[in-house]
Amino acid sequence: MNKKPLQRFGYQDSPYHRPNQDWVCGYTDSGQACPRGPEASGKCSGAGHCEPLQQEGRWKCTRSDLAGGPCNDGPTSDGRCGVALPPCQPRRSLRAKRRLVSRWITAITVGLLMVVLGGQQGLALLEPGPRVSGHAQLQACDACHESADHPMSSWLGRVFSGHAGATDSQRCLLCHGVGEAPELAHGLSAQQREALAPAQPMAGAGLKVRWASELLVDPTAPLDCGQCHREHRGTQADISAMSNARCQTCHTQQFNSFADGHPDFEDFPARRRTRIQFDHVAHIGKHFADAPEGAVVPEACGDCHMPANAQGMMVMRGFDAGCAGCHAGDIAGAGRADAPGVAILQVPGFDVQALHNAGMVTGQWPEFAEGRGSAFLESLLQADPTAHAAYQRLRDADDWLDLSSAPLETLQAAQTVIWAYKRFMLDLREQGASALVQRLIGDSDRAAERQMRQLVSGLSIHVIEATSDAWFPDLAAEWAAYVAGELPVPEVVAPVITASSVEADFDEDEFADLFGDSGDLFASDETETEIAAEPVRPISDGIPAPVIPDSVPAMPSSKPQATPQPVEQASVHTEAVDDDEFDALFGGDDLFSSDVELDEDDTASPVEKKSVALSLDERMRLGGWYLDDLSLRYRPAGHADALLQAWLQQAAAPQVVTALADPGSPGRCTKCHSADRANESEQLRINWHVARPDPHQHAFTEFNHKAHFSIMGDAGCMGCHQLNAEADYAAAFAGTDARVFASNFRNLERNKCATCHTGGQAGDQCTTCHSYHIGEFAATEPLTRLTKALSGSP
Amino acid sequence: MITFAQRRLRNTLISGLFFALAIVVYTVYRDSHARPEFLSGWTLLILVFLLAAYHIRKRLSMLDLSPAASWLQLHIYLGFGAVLAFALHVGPRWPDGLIESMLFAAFVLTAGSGIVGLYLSRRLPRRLTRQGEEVIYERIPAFISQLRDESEALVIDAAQRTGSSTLADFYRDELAPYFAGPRHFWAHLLGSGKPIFMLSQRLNALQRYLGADEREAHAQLVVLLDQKNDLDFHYAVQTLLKRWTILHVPATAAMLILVLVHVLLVYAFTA
Amino acid sequence: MSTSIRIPRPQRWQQPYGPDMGDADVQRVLALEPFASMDSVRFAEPFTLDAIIRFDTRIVRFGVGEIVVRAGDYGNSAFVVLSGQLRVVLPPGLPSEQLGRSKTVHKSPLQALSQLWRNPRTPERRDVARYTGEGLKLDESGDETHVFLQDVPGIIAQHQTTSIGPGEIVGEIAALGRAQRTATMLADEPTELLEIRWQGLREIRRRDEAFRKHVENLYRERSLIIHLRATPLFKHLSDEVLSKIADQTLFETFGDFDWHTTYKRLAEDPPEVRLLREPIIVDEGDYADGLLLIRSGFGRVSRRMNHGHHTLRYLGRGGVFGLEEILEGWRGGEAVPLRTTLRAVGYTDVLRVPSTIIEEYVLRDTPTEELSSLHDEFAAQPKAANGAAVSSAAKGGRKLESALLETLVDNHLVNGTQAMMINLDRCVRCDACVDACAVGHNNNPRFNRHGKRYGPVMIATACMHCADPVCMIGCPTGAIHRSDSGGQVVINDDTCIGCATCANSCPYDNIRMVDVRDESGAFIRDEATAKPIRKATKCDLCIDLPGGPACQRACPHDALQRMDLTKLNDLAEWVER
Repeated sequence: MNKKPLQRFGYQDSPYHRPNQDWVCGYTDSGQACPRGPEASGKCSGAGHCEPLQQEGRWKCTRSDLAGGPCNDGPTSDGRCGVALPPCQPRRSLRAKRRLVSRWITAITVGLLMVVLGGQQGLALLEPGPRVSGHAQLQACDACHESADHPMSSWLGRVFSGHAGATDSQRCLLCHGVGEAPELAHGLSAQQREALAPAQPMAGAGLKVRWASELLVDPTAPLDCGQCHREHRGTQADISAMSNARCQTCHTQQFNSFADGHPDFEDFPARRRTRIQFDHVAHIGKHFADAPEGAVVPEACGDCHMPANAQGMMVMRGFDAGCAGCHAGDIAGAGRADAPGVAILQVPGFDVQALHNAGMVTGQWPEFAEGRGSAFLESLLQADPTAHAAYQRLRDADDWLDLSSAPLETLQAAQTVIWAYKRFMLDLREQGASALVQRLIGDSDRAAERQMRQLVSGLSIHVIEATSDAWFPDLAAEWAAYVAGELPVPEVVAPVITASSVEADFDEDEFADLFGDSGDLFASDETETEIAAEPVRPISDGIPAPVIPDSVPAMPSSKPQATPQPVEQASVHTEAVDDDEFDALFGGDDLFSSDVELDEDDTASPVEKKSVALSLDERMRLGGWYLDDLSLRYRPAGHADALLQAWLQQAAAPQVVTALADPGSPGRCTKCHSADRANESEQLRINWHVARPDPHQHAFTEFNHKAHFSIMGDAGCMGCHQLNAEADYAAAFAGTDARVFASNFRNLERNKCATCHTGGQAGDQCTTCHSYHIGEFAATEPLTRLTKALSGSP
Repeated sequence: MITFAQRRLRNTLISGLFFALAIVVYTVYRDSHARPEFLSGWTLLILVFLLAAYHIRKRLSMLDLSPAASWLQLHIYLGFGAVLAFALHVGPRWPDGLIESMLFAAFVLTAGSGIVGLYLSRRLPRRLTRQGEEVIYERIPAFISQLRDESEALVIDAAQRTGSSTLADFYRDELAPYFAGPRHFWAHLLGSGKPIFMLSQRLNALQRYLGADEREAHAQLVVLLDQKNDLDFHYAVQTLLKRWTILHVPATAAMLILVLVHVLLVYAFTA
Repeated sequence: MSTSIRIPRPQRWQQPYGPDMGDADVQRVLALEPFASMDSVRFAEPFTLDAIIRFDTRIVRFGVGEIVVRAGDYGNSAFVVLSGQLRVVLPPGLPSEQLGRSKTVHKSPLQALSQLWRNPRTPERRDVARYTGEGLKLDESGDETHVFLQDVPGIIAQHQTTSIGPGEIVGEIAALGRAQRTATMLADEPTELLEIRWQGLREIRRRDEAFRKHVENLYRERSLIIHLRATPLFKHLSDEVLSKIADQTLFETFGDFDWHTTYKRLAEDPPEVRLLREPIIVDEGDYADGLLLIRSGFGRVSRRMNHGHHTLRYLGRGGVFGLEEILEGWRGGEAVPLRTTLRAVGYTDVLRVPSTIIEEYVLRDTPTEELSSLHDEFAAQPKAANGAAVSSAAKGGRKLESALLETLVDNHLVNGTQAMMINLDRCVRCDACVDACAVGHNNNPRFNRHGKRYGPVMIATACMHCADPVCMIGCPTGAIHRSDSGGQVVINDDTCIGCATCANSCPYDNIRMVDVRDESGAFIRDEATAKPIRKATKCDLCIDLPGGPACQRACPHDALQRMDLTKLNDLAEWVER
């Protein structure tokens, strides 16, 4: 037999099925659902199947034909429905159930949110994810988020009132210094960026990047930190990650990858000549090869260079490690033909006779004085305007030692200079070294104090006294007389031509003469002693009535008995100062002895002279101040001599610097230390140090040497840094413009890097070599106040 | 009239192209804008609300809006679009934040149930068509009880007539529980006929103990068994078809709420 | 006492039309015109005029102002005035409200929307006031329920009317032609009418020449020409030719007007049996003596196939049968036997245009290429545009599974113009359609998502708005009617008296009776019997909603489609989709 269908479609058998109703009669499943069904509220209507009707005293079933018509048994005798089922428990329909679940889920979600937002650590629960380990300490949201300072109720408002971004960034900046204008791209103004933009056009990048840069809304729009640094992405997240595409999008010129289109290294790493003039080609090629026996010669790059910091920037190990091996000596002046000390003071030579003939008053003047009084003469005169003016005029006279034909003004100028010089010496003697300093850098303020000290460090008053005594034996008296106008005008005599004056030739340029490249200036000990004896002679001369220059007040006549004065002083010294110190100061006792000679008669015993075993230079081997005939010299002790540095930094007296900045000058600083200035008007600045990593300097490009040590081939450093024999390295140092240079090395080859640095291997992210935040800035310093240290509160 | 296959092909192609385009646009946008999340985020938000609007549309059946079928097509393909936007928005990571995790879960639940539901909606109806009488789901229990009454009557009658208890005993032990209500729910969902096969085997095995006058009843029992099985099948499959939305709709509700909070927080705290 | 001859009473007369027709009544009727003048000799046993009157007629009485028939009703009976007078309201007739029909009010989108919250939460809730208040006046005295109008003079004054006196017959065309009543008739004065059911009319027509001529002339003048002109084959003919053809055209009716009454009972039988029960109009192998045009009803075109009959197609109103053979016969010069059988599905009215006429007037004047194209068209069994032949192999190459076609025809589903087809392979049983329907109808569904099915194709039990709406026959109050706006079959809830005639008549179980309820959800009960008040309900195609049937719009899976099954080609496409 076969199935007979379960369903009948007729209206009696299949009433409307109403899935839209919320409630279903509890008897539905048993097929006995009551005709009326549950009420809308979900209660059982309890209506039963019919409302029996009483007719002629009999109860009739009134069940609807749709529910099967009158039931067989009919109503009960008391008129209740026969088919009385107990009230059912109506069921929810499918739809009602789904609606109910939805409502519950909604309620639960809202409830959960209430708990989260309303709870104590509500804000903490809102945190979208762990912060990077570096930010672990920032527990409170408002450390970074401005909104956290406001009640939640206000947040909705903030949604529409625009981003809190700017303000939040400011909170980042409380700890992170990234320069003056963090809101600008790279912290640079548009113009600066313009300037940086590469000149040569680049390869151009893929369509996507170009589209992106088309899309770029406003490259000048202010940036906030969050745009690149995505926080709350886990403790290990790289919140500085930056995609190449994003870099390129902003950049006016794009390229596909480091290997494809990245500009070659033309001005990288060198943008200027090296600070230390060290010709790698010459040294490696020549000097190291034929170095004298026993000279310490580097064998590997590493002997001179080493990584300086975490970034592995390579620096020079320094003078001692690198240069001292060969060059320690020439700084102290060892084996140097001329005087190894810098002549700080030097008596300029004048044609005294000519002056006298012209009726000028000179007072006593060292007869054999030559030269124009060292580079510092002008600086010394600067203080006195008339003197300075006079010097200016005098400077034009080509020969000071023959003023016979000079015009009167020149002669007067000479006289003014002479007296100004004496005045200076007098001040020096009376006020000590500070007089010299003041002359050089004007009134000393506290700032200059240190510099002043450096300028004359080790210049003892005794040397000064000795010097002035040697040059102007009774300066004080003479000055007094001069001031009183009692100095006699000397009688006119034929000029005495001294050998030295003949020999002296001033063809050579100023520096050369000053620092005595020509050996002859530097006399042997004998001449020295003679000279030491010389100055006394003219003192015995008769004194003429002075011609009183306007600038000089008249002064009373004086007697020569004042002469012995320096002797007493000297003898005083002899007792006062103990020998060793004395020696150290005066570089030996010859000066003293020459003083002693003053007391004796002219004929000095040769035996005593023989007793001087070593030459003055040798005795001054360890450097310091010393009187050398008509020069007061300073000899550098060795590398990085503080005094010379001080003199070379002497801003106030450019001539000084220019003078000392000669590579030949004693100390030979500028032989290696290049001196820079952007233009002639500027002061030369000497690079005392090699390039060193500066923690506050954030370069746009950084290369980590360390990371590459392990992978260098046999070529080693040379693999990348190839010597360039052709380059004329030295030539660049003739000038003072650091930007003009020729490197010892060829340009680095990008392809070499690109063999490893591709997307697949070592990576070719822009950020591998480049930094976004560039320029000079320091991370914010801690703001802890000392007062806190003692106040009990933590 | 375009066939369903053609329509599916067409819509898949169109949306495929559209998705590809969207990805390109997004990647470009990501490189050119500071916060691409705002693009993907707003797209996602709009999509989600469009998708939710389908629910509204279903309730507005009385208005002359375009057919619900068209809306469903839109719903389906926009749904896939939303999944894509979500992937772009969230990236390959499970969010760590509480709110975000809840939101993530809600979305995954919604989208997942949606996709599963789509699959079921396309597969199950065919199975329903192939087997048994097409009955209204809510009436299945009633029909089952109808079958139960018939079978009981049948067995009792047989027992009374023949005095043999074979069928009655078997009915008491095996069939009564079987006819008591829907059975073998999971077996039917998984398309396994084993349980009913075993049962009818045991029923057939009774033949040897039956007298000639019982065979009629036995034969009818076999048929009733079969009919009951069909009902069970329809009950199971239709249950699945009708109930998956009980996951889909509430999850959506939760998601919508969380989304609003999410947006609020994002705007209040974005730096 | 001579014992009269006894013969078995023909089956049809087991239920006399008017159970209380006594001998007196019969004699009285026979004495009246037009029966008096009929030649009783022509009425041979068993269908004597006496018997016809006795079994196929009944006497109905109407009071003043009571409506006899309404314009637009479907009736299957004619009336002969015995006494009194009928008033016929000529077009434009009475407003449909007065006839107890609902006036379709179209909801604005907002009103439609408001149903969301305005709808009651209880099912089948009604406003009791509407029933008790000023509604239609019902006269339920006696066995018949009549509706009567007040102020008859007023109506007469306002409308064009004619009156019909004793001896005149009215409504026979509608009865025999299964057509809508053309005019409303009401009783001017207390009137006695003899109502003759269509079977009786048919017998009379067969036997009484005068009556036949009378009827056929009526046909010809009223609808025939129009009908012929609507037929593609004749469209190019001139009026006089048409009228010539019309003169020669024969009228035939096959099958049973009341097929729907027996339909359900016989529905249990296997299809082949039911098919054999369908009267053959012309049989396969017969000589094609004429071209058959379907006037109304449906014809099944089948071909013998071993032991059964294979349904090839069916013909609806306007369908043409036999042209193919006639054409070939005419060309070949010798008659060609029909290749297929035409059966009446339920009932069929056909026009038979003799072949000679066709050849003489049609084929000769029609250009050959047009003929051949026509031939091909018919040979190719064209789709059912304008309800012509529909076939299992329609144009566009879509082949409708013949078993499905058989099912549709066997179950007379081809009747439906708005059948609710559900593709079970797509339907996820979500009941969105039912919900949509409920929202549109005060929280009440108007169909059940179940029904006859073949494979994945289910024809849900929702009103199909049939081409031949048998449900409308015999509605005492005219509550069920075709809407004058779109022809949908709708029920006026106010005037429905819950007699369930329509629900019982519907062969497809698409009308459902419901017990209506008040605000509380309790049933509204009849004072007298305390039984719940019943109302007939059915799908109205959301006639009052913007945008038509909500079920179709609400289906998210394209599973549900309202379909005109006379356009089988669309069905084929839909099934294949």
